[in-house]
Amino acid sequence: MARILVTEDEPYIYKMLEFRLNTLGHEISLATNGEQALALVDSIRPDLVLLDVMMPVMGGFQVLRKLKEDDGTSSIPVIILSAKGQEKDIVAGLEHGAFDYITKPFSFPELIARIDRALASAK
Amino acid sequence: MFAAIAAIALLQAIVVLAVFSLLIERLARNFYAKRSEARLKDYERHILGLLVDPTDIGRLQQAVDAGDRTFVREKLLQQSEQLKGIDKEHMTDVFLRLGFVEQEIGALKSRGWWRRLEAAVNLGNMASQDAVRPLIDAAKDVNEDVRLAAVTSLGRLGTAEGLGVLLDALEDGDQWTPAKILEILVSMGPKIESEILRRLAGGQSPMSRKLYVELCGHLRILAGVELLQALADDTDLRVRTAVAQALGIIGHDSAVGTLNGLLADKECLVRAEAARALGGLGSVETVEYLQQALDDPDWQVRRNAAVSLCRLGPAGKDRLQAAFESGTAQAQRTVAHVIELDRLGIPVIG
Repeated sequence: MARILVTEDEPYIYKMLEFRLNTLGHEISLATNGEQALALVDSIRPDLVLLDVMMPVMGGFQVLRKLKEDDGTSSIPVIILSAKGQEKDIVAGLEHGAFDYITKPFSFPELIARIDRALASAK
Repeated sequence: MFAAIAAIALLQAIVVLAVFSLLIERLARNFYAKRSEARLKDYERHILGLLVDPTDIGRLQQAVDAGDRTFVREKLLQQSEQLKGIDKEHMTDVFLRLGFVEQEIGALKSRGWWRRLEAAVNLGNMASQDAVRPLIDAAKDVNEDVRLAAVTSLGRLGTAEGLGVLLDALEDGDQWTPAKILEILVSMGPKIESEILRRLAGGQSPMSRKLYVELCGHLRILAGVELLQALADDTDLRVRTAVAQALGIIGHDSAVGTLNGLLADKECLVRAEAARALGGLGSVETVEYLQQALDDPDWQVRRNAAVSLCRLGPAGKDRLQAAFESGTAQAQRTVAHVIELDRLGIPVIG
C-alpha cells in the first residue's frame, strides 16, 4: 500500500492514526515537529503527508510551504489534519497548497476516503 | 570476647538480611510494574481495536471487572475526544455497554464538587442522550464550575431540551457568564437557527432581544435579516447597537438601507456601530452614506466611517481623499490619520 508520513505532536492521536492506517496496510512514519517532518520527507519519500498545523519548532504551514517550493517534494499530496477549523484556516491551508483539509475531531471513514482520493490523484 | 564476636555476627546477619529483603522487594516491584504495564498496554491495544471492531469489548469488560475501571475510562475518553461521526457513535455505545455513562450520571450527585465537575465534562464527551436530563439537573448545581460544565456538555449533546436550558441560562444574567454561554451556543452552529429566530421574534425584555440579535449575528443567520431590520427602531439603545453589529457581520446587501437609517440614530453608539457595519458589507452603494458620516459630530462615528471607506477599496479611498482636500476641519483631521495609516501599510481598525 502507501507510505504515509504522519506529522503530529499529540501521542494519542498518532497512535490512533498508526493503528487504523496500519490495519489498511499502509506504512506509517511519525514526525513530532516540522523540522523532523522535512527531514523524514527527504529520507523516506512518502506517498502522502498527514500534517498537523500547530506544532513545536516549525508550524504546519511553514512545512507545507517548504514542501511545495521544492520541486522534488511539491507533488506529494498533503492533507492537513488540524483542530483549527475556521473558514480562514481552511482557506489558508488550501492556498498554501494542501490537497485537502480535515478538522479535528475527525472520523476515520471520512479520513480514509480522503486519503484514498489523494493517493489516487498522485498516481 | 565471645559476646563481642556474637554481636558482630548478629549485626552482619541483620545487614545481609536487610539487603536481601530490599532486593526481593525491588524484584517483586519490578515484576508487578512490568505485569501492570503489559496489562495496561493490552487494554490500550483493545481500546485502539475499537476503531476497527467497536463491538469487541470483552477484554475491556474484564478490565473493568478486575478493577482497572479508571484507566480504561480515561483512555476511552481520550480516544472519544478526537473522534466524530460514526466513530463517535461507536464510542458512545462502548461507554454505555461498559457502564461508564451510568457511573458518571451517578457521580453528578457526588459530595465533592470536583467529581461532579469531572462527571459533567465526561458526559459531554461520552455523548449519550441518556445524560441530557441529569445534565439539565446539574445545570442547577450550587457550584458555578459544575453548572458551566453541565451546560457546555448539553451544548455538545445538542438536543432541543438542552438548547432550551442554554437559552434560559443566557437570559438569566445573574447565574451565568453570558459570553461563555454565547460561545457554547455559537459552537452548536446552524442546527439552533430556527429556535434562535423563534425566540428573537418573541423577545420580551430588551436584554433578551439584544442577546438573540447578537446570536443572530454570531451565527450569521441570513434568514434573520428581516427580523433584525424590524428591530432597528427598537426603543432600547443596546438592541439597536446589536442590530447594527449583527447586520454588519451577516453582511447581506439588503441591510444597506437599514444601516443608513441607523447612521441617523440619536445615539452616537448606534451611529458608530452602523458606520462600522456598512464597511463590512463591502458594497460600493454605501460610499455616499459613509462620506456623509465623515461630518458626524461624534469622533468615533467619523473614525469608523473613514475606516469603512478605506476597507471598501479604491472607490472608498477616493472619497477619503476628497474629504481630506475639501471636507470640514473635523473630517479632514479624522481622514488624515486613516489615510496615513493606510499609506504606511498599518492595518486600519475602527
